[in-house]
Amino acid sequence: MAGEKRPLVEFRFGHRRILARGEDTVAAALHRAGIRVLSRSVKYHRPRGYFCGTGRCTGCLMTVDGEPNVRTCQRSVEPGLQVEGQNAWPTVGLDLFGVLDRLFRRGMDYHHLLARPQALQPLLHRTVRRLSGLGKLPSTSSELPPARRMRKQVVVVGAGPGGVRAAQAAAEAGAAVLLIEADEQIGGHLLRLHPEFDCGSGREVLGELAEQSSESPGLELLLGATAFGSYASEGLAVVHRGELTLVEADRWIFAPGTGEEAIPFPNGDLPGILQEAAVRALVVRHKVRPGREAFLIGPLKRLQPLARLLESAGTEIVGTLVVEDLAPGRTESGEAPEQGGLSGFRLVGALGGRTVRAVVCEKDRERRRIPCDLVAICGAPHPQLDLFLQAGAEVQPSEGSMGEKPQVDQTFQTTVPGLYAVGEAAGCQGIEAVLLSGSCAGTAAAASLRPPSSDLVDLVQRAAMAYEQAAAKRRSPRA
Amino acid sequence: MTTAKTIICRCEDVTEADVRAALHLGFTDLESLKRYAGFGTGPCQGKGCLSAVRALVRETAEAGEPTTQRLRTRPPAVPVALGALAGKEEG
Repeated sequence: MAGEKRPLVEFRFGHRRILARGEDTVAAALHRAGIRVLSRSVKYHRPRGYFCGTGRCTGCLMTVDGEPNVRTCQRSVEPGLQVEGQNAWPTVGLDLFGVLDRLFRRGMDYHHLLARPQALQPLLHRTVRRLSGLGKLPSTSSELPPARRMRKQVVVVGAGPGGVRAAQAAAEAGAAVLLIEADEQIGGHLLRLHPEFDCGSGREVLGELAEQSSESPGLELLLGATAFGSYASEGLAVVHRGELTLVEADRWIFAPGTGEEAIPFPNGDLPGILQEAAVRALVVRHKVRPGREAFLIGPLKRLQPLARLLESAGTEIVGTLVVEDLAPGRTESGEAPEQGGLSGFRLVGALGGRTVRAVVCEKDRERRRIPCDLVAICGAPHPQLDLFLQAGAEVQPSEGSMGEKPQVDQTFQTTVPGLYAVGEAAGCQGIEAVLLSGSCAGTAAAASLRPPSSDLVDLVQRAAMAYEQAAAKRRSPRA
Repeated sequence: MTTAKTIICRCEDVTEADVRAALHLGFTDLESLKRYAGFGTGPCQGKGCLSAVRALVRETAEAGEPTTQRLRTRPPAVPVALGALAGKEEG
């Protein structure tokens, strides 16, 4: 659990020995050791590094003990692990195939590339097959891991505040509950908040949630388990420590949270350009200084606490570009109320080689080049919809972002009967609304499994009303 | 030095120019655009590229035409080892 100190661990990155803290992930330990380039991209062999910090992108895919494409921002360190970069020769730091990026400066149109002469096709295909593909399969086969089946009345996916509260509420209402979490700890995004710099954002309920979930008798917690497939008739496919588990349930509550919009811009894929969650994971969870000099882009209410957090880690803020609702195609700043902030500028792109070295911003004819080794991007949040869409739930546009959220009724049930959506993934904003959506869905899911009882119906209605009030208060804080 | 490409899909190295070229060829619905340009087909299954592609589609579409198209989502939502999928049920 948080705060518990584990002994130091040594593993290898290529020939290099890396000393890690016991609670590190592989990617965080490499970042601390100054290793920014983790692998190379599949086509142009561009450098790839730590980017989303939440296991959603592919920046940190590496080969771990022979297994290719492991998300190293999610893999905990273990003594003696052998970690390698991917898609590079001889190493990810100095990849000779990186020349492909320059050869195909204007891009590679593989629909027409060397389509003639036909006689060369067999040779071309052989070469392309050798060069392409993500990672290399191990040469030896290992024994197949066992697979399991599990069945519970209510299964909750995601142990952020909404999911934990939903699981607790369902258990309190008498259901047998399984709570599935990909991380090794409960808390979701709260784990990336700092008790001091993110005061009032919900970090304070983390301890309470952990305590309640461990004391709830009807609640079983499965950590390190990632739900990757939702199949209508057969339930949920989960991979838990490398082993497949098929989970069946009478009621489902999905609380996968949100991801951040990735903002494309020239060289925006360089290592050292990180999403907010990744920066926060490095500083708050892994005690890693993410860079020496940081440039921040995003809405003011997220930049301010992030800047304080980075300064506490010893990072200097060299510039900020305030963009509310940062999303693809929207990178122009408004008024910059802060010193060092760029007002009315537009992000032009980044410069760098293996890692980012500067960002370039522009206003009218004025161009500014701001040297930095870290760019933190706070893109607008969007609900994680994969599991909902796989299950066949209808979605609708979400207010305040370009994303969509599942359509839900008053009890947070989606258009798929028996499937509920809670937390930020359901469009709830603010810790209070997130927790109330959990109470409401958890109680409703458990109540629907039993003969109608006026107590439970009351409880569901009260939770739904409390949510409505909290949401209304948030929409107009002065009312 | 890397060349200043604007990568929209990090998994498959699809650039903004690739998507614009495909749109120009008439692949204006998301599914055929994906099949031609290749974004959304990598390990992240479109988590990072979809809204950027939608913004480009919206830009080239007739003004006011809503773009609520979505890609068909299929498991696995995250990379899973084939060995795990082939695992044998116990008991």
